[in-house]
Amino acid sequence: MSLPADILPLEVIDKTIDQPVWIILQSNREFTGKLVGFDDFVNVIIEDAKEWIVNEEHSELVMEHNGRMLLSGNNIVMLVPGGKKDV
Amino acid sequence: MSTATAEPTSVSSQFLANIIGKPVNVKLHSGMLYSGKLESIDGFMNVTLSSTTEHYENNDNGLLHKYTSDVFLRGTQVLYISEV
Amino acid sequence: MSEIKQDKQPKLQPQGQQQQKKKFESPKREAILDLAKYKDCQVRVKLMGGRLVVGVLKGYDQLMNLVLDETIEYMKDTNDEVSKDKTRSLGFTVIRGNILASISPMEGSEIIYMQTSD
Repeated sequence: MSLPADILPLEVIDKTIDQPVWIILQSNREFTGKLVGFDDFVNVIIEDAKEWIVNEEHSELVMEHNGRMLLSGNNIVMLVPGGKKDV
Repeated sequence: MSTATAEPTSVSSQFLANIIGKPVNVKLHSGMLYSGKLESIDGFMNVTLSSTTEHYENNDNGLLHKYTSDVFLRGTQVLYISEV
Repeated sequence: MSEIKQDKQPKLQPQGQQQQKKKFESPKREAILDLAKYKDCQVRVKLMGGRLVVGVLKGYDQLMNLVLDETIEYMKDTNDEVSKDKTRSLGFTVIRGNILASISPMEGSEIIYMQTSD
């Protein structure tokens, strides 16, 4: 790589630790919660996660989780630091 | 990046080590939710559970199955593992 | 998995194995497209699973993880088609490189409206 990019994606995720995060999967499923950590594969650990299924117009809350959750990085497409805005 | 790349799979393996023997929810890509005691787990997220119940999406939905013996879940199908 | 079978390489000298391996692996690391020239430009990113997002490229890495700002996602409708009017704003996002299907700058592309024959 000729020039290092100013903002590295994994650094952004690293800075989101201990903060709310919104995680979007390949399917219509999404998670919000506090980011606890992540690994090389971007398997993610979130705390007090809310699990959503997003339809045309609205997000349906599937489940609320207490404690920590290990979310497989396999299906994660996007991570949004700061959490979900419209909830 | 420094902390993330230094120790591969550190955070997740730490988490996994901590939750063995505890009650967990495991969801598969299909939406099936398995609640039971986490007997063992490996780096592929293969999981075995004991005294497991099976629901669709959420524990409020009707009980589909109750397993008295162990249940093995294939890691490739696991969406998440969460503490109860 | 990524181990390269070397037994079918007759010319290979025993001590050259390490070097040969390096030579094999190095092309993978180099991106064929330098994303630096799209920095701070609007890019259109297609993801595996059919999602489409547009955002301003703020950063990236070798794995093609992206950092986008002012991200807008074009949502699928009931017909499972991406429509131009069903959008949502995601803001500052990180896109995973392993599910990235395509990336292109907005500038230098145009939307072609197709007329379907009845």
